[in-house]
Amino acid sequence: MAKKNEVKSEKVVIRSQGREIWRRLTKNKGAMIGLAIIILLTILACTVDLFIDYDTQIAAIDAKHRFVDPCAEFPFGTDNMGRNLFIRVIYGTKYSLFIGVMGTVFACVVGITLGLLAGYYGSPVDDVIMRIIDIIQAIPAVMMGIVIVSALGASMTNLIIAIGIAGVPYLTRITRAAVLTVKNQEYIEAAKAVGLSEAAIMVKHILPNCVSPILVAATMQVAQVILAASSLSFLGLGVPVPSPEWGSLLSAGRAYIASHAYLCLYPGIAIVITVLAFNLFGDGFRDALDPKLRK
Amino acid sequence: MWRYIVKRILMLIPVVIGASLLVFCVMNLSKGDVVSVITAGADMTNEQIEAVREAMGLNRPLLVRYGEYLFGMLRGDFGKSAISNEPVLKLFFTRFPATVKLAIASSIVNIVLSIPLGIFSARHQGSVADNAAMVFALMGLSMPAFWLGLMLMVLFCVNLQWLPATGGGTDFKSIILPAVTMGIGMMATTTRTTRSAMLDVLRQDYLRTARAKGVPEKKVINLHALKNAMIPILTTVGTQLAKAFGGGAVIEMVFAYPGVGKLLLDAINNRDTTLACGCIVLQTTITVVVLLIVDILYAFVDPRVKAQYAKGGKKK
Amino acid sequence: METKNTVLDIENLSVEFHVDGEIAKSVTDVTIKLHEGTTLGLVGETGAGKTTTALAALNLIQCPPGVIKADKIEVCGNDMLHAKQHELEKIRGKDISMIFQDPMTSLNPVFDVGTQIQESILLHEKLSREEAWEKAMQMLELVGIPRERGHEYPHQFSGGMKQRVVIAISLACTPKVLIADEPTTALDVTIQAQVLEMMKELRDKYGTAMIMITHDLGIVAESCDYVAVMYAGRIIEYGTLDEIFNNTRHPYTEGLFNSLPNIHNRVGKLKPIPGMMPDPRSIPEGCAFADRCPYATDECRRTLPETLKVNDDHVVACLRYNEPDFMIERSRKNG
Repeated sequence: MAKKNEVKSEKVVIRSQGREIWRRLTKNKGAMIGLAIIILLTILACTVDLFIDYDTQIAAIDAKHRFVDPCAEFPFGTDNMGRNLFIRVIYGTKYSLFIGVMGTVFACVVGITLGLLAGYYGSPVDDVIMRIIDIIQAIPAVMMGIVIVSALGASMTNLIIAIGIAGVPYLTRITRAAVLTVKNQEYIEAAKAVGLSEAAIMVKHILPNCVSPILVAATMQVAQVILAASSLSFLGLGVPVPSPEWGSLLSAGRAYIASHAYLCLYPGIAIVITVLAFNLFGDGFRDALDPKLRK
Repeated sequence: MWRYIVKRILMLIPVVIGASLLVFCVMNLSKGDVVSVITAGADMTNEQIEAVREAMGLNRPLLVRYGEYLFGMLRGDFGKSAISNEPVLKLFFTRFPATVKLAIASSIVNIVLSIPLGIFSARHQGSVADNAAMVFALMGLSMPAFWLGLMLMVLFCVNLQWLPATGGGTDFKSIILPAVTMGIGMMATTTRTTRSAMLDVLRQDYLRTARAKGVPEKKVINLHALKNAMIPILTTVGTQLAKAFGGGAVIEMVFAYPGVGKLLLDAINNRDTTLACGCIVLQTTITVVVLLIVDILYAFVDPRVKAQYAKGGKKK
Repeated sequence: METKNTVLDIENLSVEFHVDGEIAKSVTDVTIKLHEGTTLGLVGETGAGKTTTALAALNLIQCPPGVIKADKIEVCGNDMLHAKQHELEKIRGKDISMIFQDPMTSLNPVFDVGTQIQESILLHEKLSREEAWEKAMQMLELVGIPRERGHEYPHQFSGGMKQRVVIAISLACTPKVLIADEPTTALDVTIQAQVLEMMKELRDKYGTAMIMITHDLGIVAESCDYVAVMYAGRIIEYGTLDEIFNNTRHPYTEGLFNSLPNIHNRVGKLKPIPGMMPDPRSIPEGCAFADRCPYATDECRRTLPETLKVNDDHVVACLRYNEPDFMIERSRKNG
């Protein structure tokens, strides 16, 4: 890919390449379904506050309707405090998606920076960064999250940081590998010869050529973050109650699982659908970027 | 070969030390330490609490304490749990067999399900069955393990009543559900790897040679092809196994399974830094060692890798 | 031609590949009869359908995407077309076996070469593992590799040595029919000669009938009794070695001879055949060679030539052969 860019005008090639990737992507049913779900969930997450009132519909307790099984009025039933689970799950989209995206953004910002530095400067910067990455990667991700959240205290921000860190090694490696392939291209030499600063070279010339693998990694990472976040929330290390984050809903429902399994069923399905959507799209995206892998 | 292994083992040491430093520091950043847990509820003045801290050596600078910890660790002394006052190593290794059992059982589930499914998918590439298998695998990848565990529990323990809900033991019956849960989680990745590795191999000329000499189709696939596809499959299975040694905490909690993960979670809840730190360092070590063993196993699967090791060894 | 010693009998074989809604006609109406102890040279450009024909003889074509149609495919009297999978497995390697073009990729990298030879023997002969190993080692020595190397892996062998191993595998059960698919193309010239010489010796020793697939007419001249020339999936000329070489009838065969470098006449220019073979997905309705043929008429582009008999030992598929005064240049020179 990069080789073409150096010959022809960069922008034109990238644009037509983008179109080709998009064309292949639209052919992939799974990826399109995934994308549709992602768009739907994003719209839902952004507008949910317009039609659901947090104080009366989410936090308020309704003693009359405790443990109502799923029915027309309460499609997902109600919980131990009489709250409508359907509304809570819908509202939870906001939290889960936000955590997923922010956790990924955190991992990307740190990972891309480290990857750029490691790939661009090479040894010894590379050695130091990669050894740190090795260490982070050696510690099982969930444990890392548990340790960090328990150290910093349970809150949404801390949850995002804790899970974000676990994703850093992956993004660092992807970025570093991508940088290494473009680093020695001639247009980088040219940029150096013109006297651009190193920061400018990295951001303006190297980074744009590493975008596609990073985007694929980021898409998959959103799925991973949402999963990990639900695990931590489930352990009580996530978003504090009564916020209806899906993991927290599961954690709360678990106490009644023997008698009211639906309390765990629906939030779980919400997680599966969301994560599946990101995985489907990420998979399709990767295939679209590298059609050789498919055949 | 041996040189290579020794070199790899030596390279593990800084990783483990680094991990211990990281965990030790983060754990000690926590608001509220073990003393506040021990003394909670007890009627003590602030001075008395401080005295306890002093006595436990918790008032000294972080790095000094870490130095001491590291020094002990290198001699095989991971300190004592602040809560039960038992040596960390002893606590860890009483729980460890249960975790090993679970990790191995789930890996067996993983292997038994995903390798045949991956091979099937590869042989019927593009068919409806292949697509279904791949969506199924992706579903496995998209499911929180603990949720799957809960749902299986509802199904088999509550509704069908085939299995005891929470045994808390490590006998066969109480290991089935945790192992299946974990195995299905692992399966997604292994199936996908098996499929793509087999797709690569199925195109190779040497399979045609095998068929031309009259090797039965089953043997062509399960021996000639599979052995060649084994390296990526082995890597995935091994990585999953390594993860299972360290990452089963949530599943252990769901099923009240008495493994290391649960020990760690309890330690963290109690702010028992020494125990938690020890658990994580030990698990990290075990994880990286398992990964190393997998790397070495390559040599037994593929003679070319063995030759490479031998060459690398001679050079150094 | 008595049928009793016909070891390979293919009648009207057609093979198509259906891929992405397109049909590629790889082989059309090919008939081959091979008698005990004789060698047939199957000649043609890359993509003419030679390998596909060979694979069809073993019924080794992947279906789908392949579709095989034939009136008959028989190996030593065994119907390959309708045989069940397990029956096929008994015939392959025992009655008919094949040497593939690229020795670099034809051996399984994760088994030692001895095991790969032994496997074939174990499958088809009632021998214990030790006896089979012993026989495998004898085969290895027969192809000129010391038996000590039996425990080595393919990556430890050179290309020529690997091809010897492949030959050892295919001859391990002394098959009646051996198909050698360009066995020397991937090898150095000096090694080529050695391997060919060895194959000839072994063929003579065991009385194996052989199909030698090649695009090298030199190899054909040295080792074959009969020659079949394939073009775009059809056999366009077939006859004894002598007939094809000295009484060439088809313009394409002539083209093949003309594109050979001539050792005796170094000044003479090579005359390569102009153009390319038609795409198997869109083979023209007339003679497939018409577009490249210096003698082609409009009739050639419209009508598919039938196979015509030159004499008892020679057939040709060319429309213009029927014209009484038509003669290709080569025959003029020879005649």
